[in-house]
Amino acid sequence: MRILVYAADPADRKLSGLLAKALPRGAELELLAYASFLKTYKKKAPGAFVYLDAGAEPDAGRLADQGAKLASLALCAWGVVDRGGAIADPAILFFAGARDYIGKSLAREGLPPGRLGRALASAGLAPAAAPSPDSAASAFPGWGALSPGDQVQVRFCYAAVGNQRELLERIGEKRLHKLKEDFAAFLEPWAKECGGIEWIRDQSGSLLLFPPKDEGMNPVLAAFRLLLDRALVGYEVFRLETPLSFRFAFHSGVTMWRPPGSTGTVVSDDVNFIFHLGTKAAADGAIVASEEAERSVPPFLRDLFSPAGDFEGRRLSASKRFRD
Amino acid sequence: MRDRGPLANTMKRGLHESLNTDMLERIAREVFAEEYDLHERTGFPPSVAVPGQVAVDCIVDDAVAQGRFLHLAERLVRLDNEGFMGRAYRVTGLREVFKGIAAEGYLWDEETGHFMEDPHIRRTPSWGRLIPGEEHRFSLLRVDVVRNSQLVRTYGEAAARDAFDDLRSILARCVELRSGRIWSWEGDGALAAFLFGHSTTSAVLSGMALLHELFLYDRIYNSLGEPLKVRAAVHTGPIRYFPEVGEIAKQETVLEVMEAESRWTPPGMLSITPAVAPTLDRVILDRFRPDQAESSRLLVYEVRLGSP
Repeated sequence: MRILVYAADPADRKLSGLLAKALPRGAELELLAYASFLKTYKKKAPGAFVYLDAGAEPDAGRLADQGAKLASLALCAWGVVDRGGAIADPAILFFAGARDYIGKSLAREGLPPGRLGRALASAGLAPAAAPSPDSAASAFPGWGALSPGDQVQVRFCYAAVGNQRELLERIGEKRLHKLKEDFAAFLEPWAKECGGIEWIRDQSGSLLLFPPKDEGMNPVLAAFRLLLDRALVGYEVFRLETPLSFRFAFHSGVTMWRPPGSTGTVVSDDVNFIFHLGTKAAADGAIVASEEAERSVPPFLRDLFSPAGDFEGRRLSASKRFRD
Repeated sequence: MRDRGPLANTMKRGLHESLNTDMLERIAREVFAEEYDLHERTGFPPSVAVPGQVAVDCIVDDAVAQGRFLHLAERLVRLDNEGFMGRAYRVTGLREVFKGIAAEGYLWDEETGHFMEDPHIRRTPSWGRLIPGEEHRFSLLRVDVVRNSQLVRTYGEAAARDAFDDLRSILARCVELRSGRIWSWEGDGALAAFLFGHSTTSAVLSGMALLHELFLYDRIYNSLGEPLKVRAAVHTGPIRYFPEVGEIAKQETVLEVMEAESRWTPPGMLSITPAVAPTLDRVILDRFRPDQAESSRLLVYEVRLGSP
């Protein structure tokens, strides 16, 4: 979870102090020069909540244009910090899709605790609820900082090629095997975009790990996008002449950390559960989520999920499928 | 006309060392026209052989003057790779020519065998290589916003304009990722063109990707009070390329794709014409179905959600 600010002065301590005091746990704050916006936003903005400093661009129309650019090209949520009260009608920003506006009086009084958290939640970048039991683990240190044996709170995702039985008949065992290998290789950078890693491969699919809170694109959204684009991905990425689909299972829990390739001795109920969920309960062309993972579903996708019964004592929800 | 002095000289040196006049003239006929006559171009009488250096200078200078330098370079690459009539030819200096062309902002595309504009440097409507007046078989993707005037009236010009701008960005991403070019954008609708590789497939996949992106856009970013719906259509046919969009817009193939979109395509859908369907691989074609009204011969695609 990152908050990025395009400021008139990236060394502006008053601005960083204003935001830092209301920073949700586990969130990072970064200030960049507004002048570097065009050069940096495609690389820096995806997955972040971006504030534009009206001190650098007091014209509401132009700020709205920049914000729209962020939303459409970097697929991120944005807001405006207007400490000087330069914008007469902040509604213009909201018409353009802004998710937050920190005006003059609020900036003068200081942001109340949880203020930025609510903005992030409204954009689906943080849970809307009050601090959850696992929030203590939300200050995720990064994969590189974990030591073997650490107990770590993560989100699990089991991802696999769908309709494998049908594919076996259509393309044969050898090509299916190659396809599964290619898909696993495809998942590695895909998971990275969401701050995750490919952790364990089995014969059917891959177990991916994501930080407990979003660091980059939301992984459920990324999975949903892959299901939406399945025809394009099958044809353009995997060069298949036969329909391709995927299946995804999400769960949230705790595991003992071992680096990829050294996971033979991992003992974890949650790891067992996600493998069972992914291989036994997940359905082709859909995302299934355990009750622990439900909070990972972004608000704007929640109406596409509905209860899907119980599995090994846990309540499940599943996404609608796209029809061919 | 682009000044290609040093690069042209590099090519001339290589050609002079590699090919005789007879072979040069064969190549020139392929690059320019079957009627290309080296004697006529150089002024040498038919009874006198054109000296090699004169032939090389004439062909390369003509290629530069007529905007066919890249075409000549591509033909030489093919000659170097494949030979001619079973005989191998080595064209020296091609590496330097490649470097010079790359410095001009072009990348070699192995799949099509063409030098293409480096999209990180520029994306021009002519792909930096089309010659005005020349006819090619293009594939076109026409996109139009449904009820655009009503959107402006209901949500105000600024909000509607922002939504149209978002659409433009999304469309540009879908099209340019597949080597297409947006030829025209009228604020609420667009015409995109595809020429190289499997151009119909690229146009169709771009249209499908656009509908997918809009599905997510409506849920995540759309600040209008309703989904941003488009009609999209793909058609293919001959078009004479001109830098002026007006000259292109009145040609038959463009009129046909516009009619397919505006008259026969239901809102929220992408249609393909009977000229496009047979060119698609089955796995893509199967995603399309006949229009429910069955009032046209178009096939349509839309994002459809089913049950969990």
